[in-house]
Amino acid sequence: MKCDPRKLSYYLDGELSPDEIRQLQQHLETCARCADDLARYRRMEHSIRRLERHRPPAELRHEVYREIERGRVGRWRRGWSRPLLSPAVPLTAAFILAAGAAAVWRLQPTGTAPVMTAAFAVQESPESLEGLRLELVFDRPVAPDSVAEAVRVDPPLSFTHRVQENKVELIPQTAVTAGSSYTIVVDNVRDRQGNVQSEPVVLSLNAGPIASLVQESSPPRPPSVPTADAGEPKLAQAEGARSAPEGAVSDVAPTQLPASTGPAGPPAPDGAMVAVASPRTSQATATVTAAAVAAAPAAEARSTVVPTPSAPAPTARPTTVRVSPESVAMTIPPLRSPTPAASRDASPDAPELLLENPDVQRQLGSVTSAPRQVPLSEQAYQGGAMLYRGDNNQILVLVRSTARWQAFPNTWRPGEVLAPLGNRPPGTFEPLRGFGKLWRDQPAVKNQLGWPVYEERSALGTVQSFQKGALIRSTFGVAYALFDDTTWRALPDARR
Amino acid sequence: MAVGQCMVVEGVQTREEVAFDDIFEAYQDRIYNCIYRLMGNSEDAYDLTQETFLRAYAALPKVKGELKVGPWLYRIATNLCMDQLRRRKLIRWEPLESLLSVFHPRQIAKDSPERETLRQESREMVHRVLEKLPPKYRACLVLREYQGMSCEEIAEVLGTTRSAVKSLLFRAREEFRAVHERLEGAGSA
Repeated sequence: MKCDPRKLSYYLDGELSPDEIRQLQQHLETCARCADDLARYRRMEHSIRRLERHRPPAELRHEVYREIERGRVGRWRRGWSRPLLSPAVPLTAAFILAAGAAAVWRLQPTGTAPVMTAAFAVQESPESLEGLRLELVFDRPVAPDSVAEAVRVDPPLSFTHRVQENKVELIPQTAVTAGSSYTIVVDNVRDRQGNVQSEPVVLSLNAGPIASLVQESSPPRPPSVPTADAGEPKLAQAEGARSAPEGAVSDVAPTQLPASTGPAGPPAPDGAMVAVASPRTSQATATVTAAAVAAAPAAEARSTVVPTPSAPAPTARPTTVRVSPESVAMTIPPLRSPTPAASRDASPDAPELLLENPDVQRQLGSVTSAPRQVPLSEQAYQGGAMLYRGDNNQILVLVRSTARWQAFPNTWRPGEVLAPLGNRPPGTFEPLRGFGKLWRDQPAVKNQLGWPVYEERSALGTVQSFQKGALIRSTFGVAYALFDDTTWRALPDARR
Repeated sequence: MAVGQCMVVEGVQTREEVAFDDIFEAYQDRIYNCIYRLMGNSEDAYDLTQETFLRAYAALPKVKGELKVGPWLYRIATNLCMDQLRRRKLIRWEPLESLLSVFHPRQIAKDSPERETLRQESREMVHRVLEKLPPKYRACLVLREYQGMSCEEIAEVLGTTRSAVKSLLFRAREEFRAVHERLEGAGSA
């Protein structure tokens, strides 16, 4: 065999046949030059292999998720099928919705009419109406068979509908033309106990180029319950929710929705939408700007929803809201209506959020520290939520049915592999990392929380201490008030 | 947290749903280090790792059928690095002082207390040699020696054939040796 440095390289790469290897080894016994070359290759291999390995900075993860959340890659996300997790309804909306729905759900006694708590126009891309769909959220699981009859659209538009517990997804079956607008009336949706939605909700869909869905009549406020400990009714409702068929998408049906006869709010001359609000409601209207909208021109992004007080007339009176064309409006009933007296009670250092929630402010007491930024992960579950505080390595378990929270140390370490799970209910996710370990290790936590219904998300949040608890604000639009008496409340925090 | 795509995770032959988060968790270290070695500094490693995962996230919904996540991610990462390196042409001026600070191995006795320093210096030398290699040579050496990939896997990442990778590795080794000798010569001069 002749000297051939190529063979040495192939030899190191395991690319020689057994015959070639034997020949080469014989050659190496007699050829010092080739043996020397091979040794040199091996030294090189060794020196490269020994190069140190670095841990990526911790911010990398946050940065990637922040970029995703900003919708930096939103326009490419076609085909993601998870309701409420698509780019145009980012976690901001998803978590507000989860918290809002959870709060109302918890307080909702049985026997009352179901209430629509939020509505979204979901767009996969800011540049295209393809894949546009609507999502309606109720304060409790709804009966799938009631939806087809309950939704009317003017001008008529063919939809497929899909019901997932308390969420109804309307998917247009024909292309929605840019610039078109529709009035959608949602009426007589039934819950699983047979209670029927008592007041119609009128929505105005303006298709594009960025779709917006404006609620033109506010849904009735859920009946107020004096304390968070609503006792039997609350429990009954929670049980009802749990006893629902596992999973999630319980119905998919094509529906030709009839034309609406409901009162559509005419657009104001300057492009603002005119909304008709029920005099009985005092709902806070929040605007959630879709992640995908990040790409929208800055000039268009300045508009926000400006709620004005609804008139105390016995019949519906208009309330004017200004809606930016690229924003998606949603309405969340406040947990309590703010009162001027309560506002005066608030400490001057209290975050503005608490001025709007004076009962929470009272329960927390006065502020004892400035808000501190902490790494925060959160995940919504069927029966509550888990929060991870990076500053003290604690996992907080927030149970909806008991309105109690509990802290656990995080025992999961990076690289630790968790036991695989069996089949999970459709529409749910596998709990991972610290949440996953706690969930697997603590059967009580698993039983109370059920399965994750949203992905775990991480970002920097803030923690602020109070005399009688703490306020944790995530960047995903939810603030959690954790009281020292181990109860908790979630507040929509749309300004974050 | 499922992405909703069926994929084959590297080495796993069953179809399963893979979460982006799981992918990120499993590959962020490897991708970061691979890019670090290709680009030679932590700033680029940070930026391009981020870009790699954002591109992967954007592309996932478009993936049809099965996908080998590992080679796919490495391909995104190496393509990004190659583009960057080509764009910059990576012509760096090396001050002579920095080369003079490198000990020549023959200057150090085997049991010298300076051996640890030598190891460190030798790592820096390897780092510098890699930086001087053409991007493609560097990529295949890093994937082979640093990431421990086979020729077949490298071919998948670089979008070429196995036999092309064999030749590429040979040329890369020869080039590495030449650059190393050149730098060593400059250091001992």
